[in-house]
Amino acid sequence: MKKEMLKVALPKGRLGEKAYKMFADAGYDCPSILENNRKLIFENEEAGVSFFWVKPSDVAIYVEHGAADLGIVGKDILLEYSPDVFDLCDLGMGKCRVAVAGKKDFHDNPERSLKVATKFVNITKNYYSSIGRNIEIFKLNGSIELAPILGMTDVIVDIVETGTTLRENNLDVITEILPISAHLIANKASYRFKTEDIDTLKHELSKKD
Amino acid sequence: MKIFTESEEIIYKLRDIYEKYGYRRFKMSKFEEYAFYMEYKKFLTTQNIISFNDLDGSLLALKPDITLSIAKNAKTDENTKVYYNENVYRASHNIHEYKEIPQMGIEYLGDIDIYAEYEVVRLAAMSVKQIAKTAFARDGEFAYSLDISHMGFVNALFNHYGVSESAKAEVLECLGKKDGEGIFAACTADGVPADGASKIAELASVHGELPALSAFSVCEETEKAYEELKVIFETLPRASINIDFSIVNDMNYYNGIVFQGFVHGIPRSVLSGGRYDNLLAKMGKNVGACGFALYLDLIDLYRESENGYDADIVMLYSEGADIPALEKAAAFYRDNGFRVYVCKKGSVLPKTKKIIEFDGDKEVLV
Repeated sequence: MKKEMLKVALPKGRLGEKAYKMFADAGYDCPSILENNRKLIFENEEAGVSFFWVKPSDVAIYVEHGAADLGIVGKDILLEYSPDVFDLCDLGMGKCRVAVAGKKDFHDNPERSLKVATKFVNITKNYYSSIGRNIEIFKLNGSIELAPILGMTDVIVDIVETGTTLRENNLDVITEILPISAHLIANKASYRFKTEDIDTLKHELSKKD
Repeated sequence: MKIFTESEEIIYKLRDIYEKYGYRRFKMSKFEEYAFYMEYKKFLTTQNIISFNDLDGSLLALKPDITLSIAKNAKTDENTKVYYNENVYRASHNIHEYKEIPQMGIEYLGDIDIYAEYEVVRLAAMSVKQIAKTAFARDGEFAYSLDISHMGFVNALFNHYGVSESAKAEVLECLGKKDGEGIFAACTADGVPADGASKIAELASVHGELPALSAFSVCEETEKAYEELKVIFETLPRASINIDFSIVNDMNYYNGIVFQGFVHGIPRSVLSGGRYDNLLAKMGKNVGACGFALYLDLIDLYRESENGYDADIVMLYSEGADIPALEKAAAFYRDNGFRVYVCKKGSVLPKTKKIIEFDGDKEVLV
């Protein structure tokens, strides 16, 4: 069959920009992506690759359904949504952690359920069931830190990078649950029909570690 | 004129192939006792089952799986070779609701030797090829892949390097995702020495021909599995068959070869199967079993619709038209293989290639 392009879904934002730089350094550049325009898909026919930006939590969906062959996604998304994809390698960048945080004077009262605000419902459920703690989950989509400040919940489970936002709001990390970094994922069927191209790209990307 | 959709055409072609290999059609009821599924819960890929009460109060279920029902009826003193074409009822992963999924497949139960295994794998390869060729060819070109692994081989390898029973499920899960780093971490956490852990992690990146496997053979059991696969690889037409350890199935049920089929154009596996003697053993039957299922819903879901018209010709008539003459005019085009939609002027028209206005006994092309 005719050789086809590798379609790559990148997460919008800092992580995606960093990831694109890794691709570019490995010889899969696509200069038009840096131009300020309204295009949605960027191609480099010579390198056999095309890129598009999507919401970080949607990357795995595009890859799972084959609209993208490859994607860059945080481990948090993989653990939260368990998409049916290949998790080819840890790119060793975008490092941070998922942690439990609460007010500086937080004291856990084991006599009642712990109220937890988070956007990572599954990660939170799995963590607390592993330590046998009864919880009540409040699913939020943003500004998670507000919940304990306003007294809606006791703690939050969220991504912590530097901890600045937490400190500025008088919150502290209580426990670290998981280390997180960016992973290269692939569609399971694409991998079968573009094995060589995907293996080469994976090899080139992991060389840059 | 094309009457059959691609998936209907595939079903007829596959029935023909299976019949020619001596498989008989197995027709069954849509219901099964609910308690039956609770006993073999882990064999099912879904844990959500539609249940309801029969008139006598007993709890029934709409079948989420066909293999279990066929295995239940397996005879121990003779071979059973059957194929089926039925609907199963499962919860969809993406949206939280039940779906009716058309499934086709074969099961070979009884004395399963190397020839029987070969035959099942051969039929699996032919089935995937048929789907690729009929519904996913572009300019006459198509691609498919049947990927094979061996649970006996993988299990023996785990035992050889000392992976504990409790850690096997996690290591298998990482293997299914080709997550070599995850395998290494899970193995070392389980106390497997680093060189063994990295050898197991290497399995994740294997994709290709049979020699890839021999490098991992470590004991009598893996050697036996290797010989088994060698016969299959040497007898099957070479192209489009690969060793890939990311094909994993529950070791509690599957003990030998396992395989999945992929078609270029469908983002998920369209066929899944393997050797499942362990399930029969759990049912108290001392027979071998091997088979596969095809997910026919994926064909219609992912094939490109090339025909953008509801009818080839729309024939318009006015109030008081000569009906016998109108019918004759339409019949002329139908007899020549066109789909003709007759309707009164002024009605909402279907999407068509050509509109003909019937005026008395004249036809005017619009």
